Amino acid sequence: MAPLRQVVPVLIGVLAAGLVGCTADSAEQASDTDAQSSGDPGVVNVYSHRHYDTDQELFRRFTEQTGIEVNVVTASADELITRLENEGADSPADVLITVDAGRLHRAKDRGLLQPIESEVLDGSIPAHLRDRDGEWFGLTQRARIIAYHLDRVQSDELSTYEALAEPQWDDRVLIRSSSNVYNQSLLASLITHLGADVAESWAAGIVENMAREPSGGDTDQIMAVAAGAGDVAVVNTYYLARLAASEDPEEQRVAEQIGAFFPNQEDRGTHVNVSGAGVTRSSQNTENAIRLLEFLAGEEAQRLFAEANHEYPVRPGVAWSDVLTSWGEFEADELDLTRLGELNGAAVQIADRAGWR
Amino acid sequence: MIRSVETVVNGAGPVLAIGGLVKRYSRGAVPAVAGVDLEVEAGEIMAVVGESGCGKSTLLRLIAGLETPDVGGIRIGGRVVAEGRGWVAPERRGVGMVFQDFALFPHMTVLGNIVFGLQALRRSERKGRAEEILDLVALSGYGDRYPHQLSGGQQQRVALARALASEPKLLLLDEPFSNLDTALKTSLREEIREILQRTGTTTLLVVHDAEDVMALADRAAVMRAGRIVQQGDPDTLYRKPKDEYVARFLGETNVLPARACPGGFLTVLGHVPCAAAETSAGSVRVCLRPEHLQLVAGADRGEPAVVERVHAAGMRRRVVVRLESGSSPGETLVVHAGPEPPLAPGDRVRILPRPDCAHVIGIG
Amino acid sequence: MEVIARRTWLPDVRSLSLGWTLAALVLVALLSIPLMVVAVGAFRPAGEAWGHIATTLLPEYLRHTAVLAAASGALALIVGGGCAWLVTMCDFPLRTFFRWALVLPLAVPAYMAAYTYAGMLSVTGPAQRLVRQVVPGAADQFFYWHVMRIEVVAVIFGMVLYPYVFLLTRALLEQRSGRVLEAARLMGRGPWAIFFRVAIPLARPALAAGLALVLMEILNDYGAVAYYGVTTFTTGIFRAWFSLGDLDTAIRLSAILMTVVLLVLGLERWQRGAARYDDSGAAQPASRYPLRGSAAAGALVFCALPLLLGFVLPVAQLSAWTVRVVRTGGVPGLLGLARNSFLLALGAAVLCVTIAVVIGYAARLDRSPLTRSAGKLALLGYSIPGAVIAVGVLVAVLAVGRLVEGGAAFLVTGTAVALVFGYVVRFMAVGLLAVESGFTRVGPNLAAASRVMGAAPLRTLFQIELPLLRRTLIAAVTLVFIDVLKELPLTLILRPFNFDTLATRAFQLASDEQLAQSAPAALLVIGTAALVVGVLHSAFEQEART
Repeated sequence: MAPLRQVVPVLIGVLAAGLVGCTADSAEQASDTDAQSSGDPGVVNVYSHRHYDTDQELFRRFTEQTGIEVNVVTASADELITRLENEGADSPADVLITVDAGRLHRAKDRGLLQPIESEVLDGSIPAHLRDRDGEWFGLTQRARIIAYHLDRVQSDELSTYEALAEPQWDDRVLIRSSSNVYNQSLLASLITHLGADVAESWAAGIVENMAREPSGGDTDQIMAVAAGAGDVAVVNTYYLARLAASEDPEEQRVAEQIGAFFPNQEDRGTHVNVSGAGVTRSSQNTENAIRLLEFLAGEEAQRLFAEANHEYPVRPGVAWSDVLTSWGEFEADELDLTRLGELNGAAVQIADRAGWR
Repeated sequence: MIRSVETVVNGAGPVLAIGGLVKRYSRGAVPAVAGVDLEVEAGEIMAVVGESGCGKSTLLRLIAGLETPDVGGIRIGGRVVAEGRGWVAPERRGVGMVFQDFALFPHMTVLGNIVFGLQALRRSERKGRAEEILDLVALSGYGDRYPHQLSGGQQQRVALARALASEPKLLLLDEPFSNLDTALKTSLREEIREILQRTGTTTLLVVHDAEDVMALADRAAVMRAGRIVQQGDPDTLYRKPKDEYVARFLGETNVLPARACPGGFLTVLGHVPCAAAETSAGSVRVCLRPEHLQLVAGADRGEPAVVERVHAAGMRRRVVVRLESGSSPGETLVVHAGPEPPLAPGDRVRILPRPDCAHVIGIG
Repeated sequence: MEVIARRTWLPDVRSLSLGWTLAALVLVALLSIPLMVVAVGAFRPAGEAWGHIATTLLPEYLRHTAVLAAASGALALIVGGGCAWLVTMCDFPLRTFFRWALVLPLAVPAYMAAYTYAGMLSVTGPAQRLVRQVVPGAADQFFYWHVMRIEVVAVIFGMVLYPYVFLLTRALLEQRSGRVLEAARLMGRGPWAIFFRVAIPLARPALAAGLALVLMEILNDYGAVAYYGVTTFTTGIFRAWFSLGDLDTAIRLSAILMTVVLLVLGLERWQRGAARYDDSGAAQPASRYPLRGSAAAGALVFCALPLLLGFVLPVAQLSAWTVRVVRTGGVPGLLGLARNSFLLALGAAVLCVTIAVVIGYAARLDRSPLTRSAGKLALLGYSIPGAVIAVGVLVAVLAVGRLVEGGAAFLVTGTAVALVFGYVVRFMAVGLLAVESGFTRVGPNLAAASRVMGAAPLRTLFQIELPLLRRTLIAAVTLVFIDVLKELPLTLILRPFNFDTLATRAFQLASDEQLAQSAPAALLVIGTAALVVGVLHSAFEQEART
């Protein structure tokens, strides 16, 4: 048996190696920060809720073009907001990226973002897709549509979100948990347009019509429609688009049975949310942060968002992916997204009261 | 660290001196050690005996420094190791200890076990010393074995060797024979006594068996409920116990109610002649060891009794008899008898106490 | 004589090894700061979400949590306890294989199992493909199997968490109870009577300790229940925090959860009662019942089923996805992630167990209630959801970091210090419980002998205690290693820039609804953990043979 005298130094060595190993990556970045004053393009530090491979690719291209290193921590927006709040002025983060306007609004509300004046951004992004004070900017759009079974539902049976709460859809509606921000935003938009009372009775009607308790993600809802658990599902566009563009024939077969319906085309338009970004108040690299945002709103980045992840670009004139193009143009609800953020809490409480898990 | 209180007293005093020692394990509990005074002289082998739970093991642990006393002081080799707020850690007390389960380090060889305690020696000297001490306990050549490869007796001797190797001022033995079988015990006792005497080691041992006391100890102290009831040389304790507890602890005994009378005691055995009876008066209890009674032939002497059981043990027989008559028929006594005459249950015998053997152990 | 009882809840200053006690207290204080943040948060005025959650949601959350805990707990007890009995007390085909293989589901994080089963049984999953291929006329059919519901979650939890019960019970039956069970057999009782009347009562401490671990894991899970849409108490914590943006309420709910777990632990301690379970008897397993025919087949199935559901099926599915992903372009950077995960887990595990040894040894040395209960305080981290601990860690580490210019940024974003600290807080219970039980098993006499032979506490620790604790320590490091490898929320929140682990990678892809893409990373997590479990097992077996 080896005497511990010999084992312990080994353990300590391993431990040290472990810590060094863990810190090696970030050490490089720390030294980059120091180097910034001497003409080095420096870094930009990003807290992001987006965890798509597309984003990694975009950051790589940004570094290639500008020399600015991009450092990323990904986690849920709420966790990142909590981290920002606690770090306060010490926070290394320059940019906060979320997948909905509500969280951006929450960050703004808590004084974590700063107003940015950029003609590039203002020129690239339509006004209703960015904060009126310039504290955050939408980068991509996703429409929340109705996915329906082509055999069991005729498209003329569908009209609006509101109609899904009608008795004819009893036991036929599939929708995920109200913990999901996309549903919270949708509910918030209904509150804005129809008032809290109507929104609450709508939520109650949806719960009444649910084919099953909410579970899984948007893709699971689409699969469940294909499998016959229900006839319609409320989902984000890119989930359905991904299935349609999948290389897996089984997934294509699922998508073939599903139609995409853009509701409320006769009135206010289909509910649209954005994935967006803002520059943090504590940012040490504000210039770089703005450059990153401008890059993400630029042609090249917008095209990649659209092609690789089937999101709708915010920048007018950028081509959509094939699947999205095949679904055609649609009227989008041009509601001020700030309102969605303001009403997020109210929406959650309404969902809870309606029994929407 | 608390600085140890070190009072150096010159040479001649006792190696171990304990005064007014008290130890409780928790607030409000009955003290495990309730005011013990004890001294052990240089080269002496002292035994502490008592029933389990009497506090004797706690006493040993207090001396070793494995427990802290609540009140009282301990001096080892003239140095105060515990008194008031002063306290010396066990590793700096210079005592050796043999544990009841031997506590040999299972992951070290016999040699490793012994060398472990020889930090004070130079590295080059340690092995030589360890082999020397192994030789002393007749285990030379066993140095490379692991404890689990040894017999119980060998483990015991390794434990002893380990404790003796650093030439401790005081050796503590905690129930050293309780894990050994009887045959081994007797020979090992002799062996250990010889080793201790040869090395002149001052020893305090805790046992619960009178035979260990008789075979090993120069002096003994009997403990009960945290206190020392009586101390002295084993023979005195055996013959002149202070009370029934001490009497029974030192060996089998008959205890009889008695009344002092001129020249002896009046008991169920009739008149027991005893010169010492002069100092007593009224109702007392006397102790008569089995060897203090004899079986006699003929109908003129002794009390009639019936043999109940006979335990043969070589040259000596232990005979349990029931008295037939007297003031309390049915009382059983234990008598030691020689190999003759043949005895069987149901035989009628007569019991006669030897003169000047009865010892008063209490009133009433 | 006037007798004063000195012993109080404070250590006896005379025998105190001041260095050890101080070190332990400082460490415990440090580890407790994040927990204090949570505890203090419970007493701050509640946010507005509190009233809403308490009235609207809490009853349902509590009901679901209770159902889940009861069902999964019972399942884990039956499967873990039953399998432990079979592999120690019965002889049947593949017994020696099951003896160690049944531990493997420990390597599968519950959330990964949940995602995998959902994918496996979905319309595009292999199960339906098989049905479409095999069943005549079903080729064009999609079936809806209602998988995502509480019953399934309960089964998944049961199947991946039963190893806690299995491990502890097996060890107890093998090491301690051989003679007792043989005595019971000699008294003429049949196997069933012995199982229910002797083995179960005997194994109660192991069953209870295992159950406590299972329950804590269930209370802590968010990934699996959130995906399956089962609302539990933990859902409430995250709903308050994420959906309602009310961290204070989330912390208050966490504090309640912490109290419940404390009660569970207290109950476990209490039920142990005065009975002692020291390792005093000879460590010898009892002779086994030979099983034949249908009995052997039954035993085989009883053991094979949990292994199949908790390990083989998920791993097979993940492997299939991995093959598909690798074929269509591969998975870049996985090796770097594996290195991150491995070093991080190893470093955190060694650090955690080292600290556990210091705390445990200090308590052993001074034996005072103060030091002992200080150690207990450090156990609480296991009961709090990782994400909530992360907030506490963030607050604590930032406070320390702010003392030095640039320190905060260095600790949190520059290095993995905050992350490793978080792991240690979260998993200290695993290390500490193992170390404590190890010390108990070694017993006090060897250390006492060492001290009397002139070795100070430090030398006694290194030359006597630690070598004898070797197996325990290796086992503890392994358990923490696996836990860290699987850990998710803490890692997500506290990691430095550009730092991904296998678990975060797998989770991000899975939460982006790209299950197949997440499979390679998930498989590596499970594979590494399973490998470590296997190597550990064979090392111990080898040692036991020599």
